[in-house]
Amino acid sequence: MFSEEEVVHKIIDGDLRAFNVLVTRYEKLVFHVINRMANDEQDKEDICQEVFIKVHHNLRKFRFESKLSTWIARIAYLTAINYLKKYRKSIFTDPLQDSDDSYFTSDNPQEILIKKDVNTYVNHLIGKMPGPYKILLTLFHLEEFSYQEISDITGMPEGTVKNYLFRARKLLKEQLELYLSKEVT
Amino acid sequence: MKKLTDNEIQQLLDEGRFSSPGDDRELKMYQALYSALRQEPKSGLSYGFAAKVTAEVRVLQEIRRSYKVYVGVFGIGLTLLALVYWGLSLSQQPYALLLLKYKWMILFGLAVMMTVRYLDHRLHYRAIFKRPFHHHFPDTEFEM
Repeated sequence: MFSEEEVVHKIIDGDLRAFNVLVTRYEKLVFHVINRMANDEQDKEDICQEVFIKVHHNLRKFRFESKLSTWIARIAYLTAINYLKKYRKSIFTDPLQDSDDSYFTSDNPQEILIKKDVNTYVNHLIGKMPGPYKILLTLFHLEEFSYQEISDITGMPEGTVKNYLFRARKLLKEQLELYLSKEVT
Repeated sequence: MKKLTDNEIQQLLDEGRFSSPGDDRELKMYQALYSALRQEPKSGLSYGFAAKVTAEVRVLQEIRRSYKVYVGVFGIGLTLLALVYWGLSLSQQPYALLLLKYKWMILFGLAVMMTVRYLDHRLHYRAIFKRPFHHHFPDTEFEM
């Protein structure tokens, strides 16, 4: 069985096999966090690698005051933010200041193709949303973190997390409604 | 029956209180959305990712270890040089006087050697971690 404490102590003592176990266990989580923040496949893998190197480097600072997954997700989140800052992507804009419909522009042939499957279409829509929406949807729905944990990971107040999640899902629902009504007619 | 608002539907779905499909159109829409949001992405990390990262960390550890040895040797070398200099300055032997005469050249030669070793070390380090954005010593504290 995987024991966080045991694995962490082994890694601190220099056991690289234990580190391998940790990476295998959390690589999906890190990938999910990074996946929607970066576009290039090679970049995604590089960022994930960077995250785990930071995890290894900072493991001594982990105080077991949160779950290890929350701590690793925070490192992944901050690393993704650094990446976006470096490439001047607009993660820092407040989504509530934008016009809600501005993320979803008119259809092009590629978009029509994507619309053939609901899941693919939803993922495509998420890809067009601002950074905070993307990350919150991932952490809440894919990784099933609680509001409090998401607040710890992102540093956003719990109320903001709830508000952004609500807005993001409402926007997606409206687009989905539009899409499904077109499908029926 | 009272129509549920977006907020209420989301809250109920978050709490997992709708397991079967509802009749409400809005609810159906949200259920489809929640189901899509739970879908894992089709792409993923390459096979053997964990082994790759572990290998990278191993190399990093070796580089750091050799760096510590290098700093230690440098410190001991400097101490020895100071001792030799002190010994030579007390001695009146001709070879001691000759060494003292060229002490700056000798020191310069040693400094060049150390710098070349250091740069070689740094280049090796960079060659391994040559990425579009990379800084291995994070400026953020990750205490939790």
